[in-house]
Amino acid sequence: MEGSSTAAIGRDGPRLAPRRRLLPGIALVVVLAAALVLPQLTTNQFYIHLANLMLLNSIFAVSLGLIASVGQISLGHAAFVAAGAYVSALAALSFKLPPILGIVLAGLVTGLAAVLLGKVLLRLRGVYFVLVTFLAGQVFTLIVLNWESVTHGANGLLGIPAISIFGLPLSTRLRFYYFALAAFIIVVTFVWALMRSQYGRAFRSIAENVRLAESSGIDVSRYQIVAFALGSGIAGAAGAAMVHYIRFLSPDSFTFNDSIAYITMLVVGGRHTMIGGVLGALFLTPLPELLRGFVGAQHIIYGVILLCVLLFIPNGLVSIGRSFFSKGSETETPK
Amino acid sequence: MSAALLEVDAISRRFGGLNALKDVSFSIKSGEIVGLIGPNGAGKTTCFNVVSGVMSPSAGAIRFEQRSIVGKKPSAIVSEGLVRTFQATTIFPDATVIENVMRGAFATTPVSMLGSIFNTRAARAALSATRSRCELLLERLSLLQFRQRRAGELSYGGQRRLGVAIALAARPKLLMLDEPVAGLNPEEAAEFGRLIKDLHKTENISVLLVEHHMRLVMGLCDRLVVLDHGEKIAEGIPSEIRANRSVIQAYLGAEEAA
Repeated sequence: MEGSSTAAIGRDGPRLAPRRRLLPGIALVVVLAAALVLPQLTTNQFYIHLANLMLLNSIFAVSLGLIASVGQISLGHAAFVAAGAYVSALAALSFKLPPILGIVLAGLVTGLAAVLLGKVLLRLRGVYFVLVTFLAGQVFTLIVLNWESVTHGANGLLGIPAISIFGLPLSTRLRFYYFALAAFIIVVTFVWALMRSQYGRAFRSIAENVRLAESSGIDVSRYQIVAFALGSGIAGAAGAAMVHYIRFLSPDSFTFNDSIAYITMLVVGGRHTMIGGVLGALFLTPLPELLRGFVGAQHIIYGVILLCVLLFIPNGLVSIGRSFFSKGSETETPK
Repeated sequence: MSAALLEVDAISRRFGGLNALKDVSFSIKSGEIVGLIGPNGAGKTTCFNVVSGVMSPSAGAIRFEQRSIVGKKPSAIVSEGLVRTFQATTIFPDATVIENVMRGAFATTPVSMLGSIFNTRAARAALSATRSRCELLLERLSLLQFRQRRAGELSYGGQRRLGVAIALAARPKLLMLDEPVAGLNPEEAAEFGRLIKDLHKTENISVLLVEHHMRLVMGLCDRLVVLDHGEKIAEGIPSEIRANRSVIQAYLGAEEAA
């Protein structure tokens, strides 16, 4: 493959170069335009609801990808989503805090919780970290279930208000869609900028070789905590946004199964790039919804798809697109 | 007579009941190349790990430029100017060669983290200056033509040189090399020796070298420190060490046994 691409550059490099830069830009504009216009063309609320879930799941998967980018996989991501949801829902119900502020508060609280938890958990590596994040998630669910005076336990929280912006309540699916789209764009842009920056360099160094990263002057524990806190904070804020959309919250809203689903999205989409999480969420979110007839088989389907992807496209859906865009990548002329 | 750059003062390190290091003291002056030698299991690598902050000493003091570095994180010690390489090849195999060196230069890239997120003009300038510096290092280590190659695709010798480039990118005052020529063939090893000598001059760095390759060590080092069973048994210039009875005994066994 490398040989053929080098040959292509040698032949018509100058013509390829501008197109390569233009093509993703055009694709981006087209996708954005479609994202803005398409929901106006349908009156089917179910499709819009699906689109909303796809956007929210994208944020969850991308935020998990941020944590994974320092080489750690968290099995407790849904607990941070749920924590954010509870913070904002309870603040709205008990203190009449406007949901838009509740979302910010949820992000801060979950981010801070991740810093404290990370200081302890991130000493563990590999499978130990995975196990402890799983346990932390389970413990969180138990607390929510049993702390009935605050969380109403298994009965859940009802009547959670919708987000309201300048007096306009986002109480319809379509209105929330534009809010979710904006949030999605903000998160994706932020994570993209982060991964391009010195932070991204530090994260990737740590994921690839911890010892060498530390001996290159990269403070491993600090950057792992930064990634864990940012990823968890984004997840918490997005969880809060979701709860003001679904407007009901119980300990079953975000469970271990959701943590697994986020990981699946990340792996299926391509865990090494941010856009992989997005692709995975866009691809997998509609599946269980469209296959509602097969209640109980959802996880089997997830599993089969995960297996197929690992077998046939181990670098995820993103690698299909990449080989399309980077026909003749490695722009530096080989000597 | 220049002041000591690194002072290792009576450090010990125990693993359970085992004394991996016992009361080891030595110092390195600015501009020196010092070799740390000894038979297998003598405690050389433990000594390296303790000095570079990977492990803390059970007892003793370590000062770099008169400041104690005991208890500091390895990354903080790197920022002080003490940088190490690891035994065997240690690179970022999936990143490009130039990215490897850019990561090595992480702590010495004068860019604010926030600035790099917003990709400000200052950040771009700082990063492009660092990139030029890294390319210079690659050129010095004859790796420049591979700058966009995946580091894992380099030859073994190339990966070794890249490991040194990563360390040099952190602007060390003292470079600690852990068995840099292990696994290289004799020509490559000799070349590596010349390279270290060159870098010592051009980059103005002191070097602490752990190495088994005796010819390299004898030819390169101003002074040698010999460890055996976790204790320092000798210290001196190469010709003294070569004639030292207890060193010969440590390597070859007691004369009666021979």
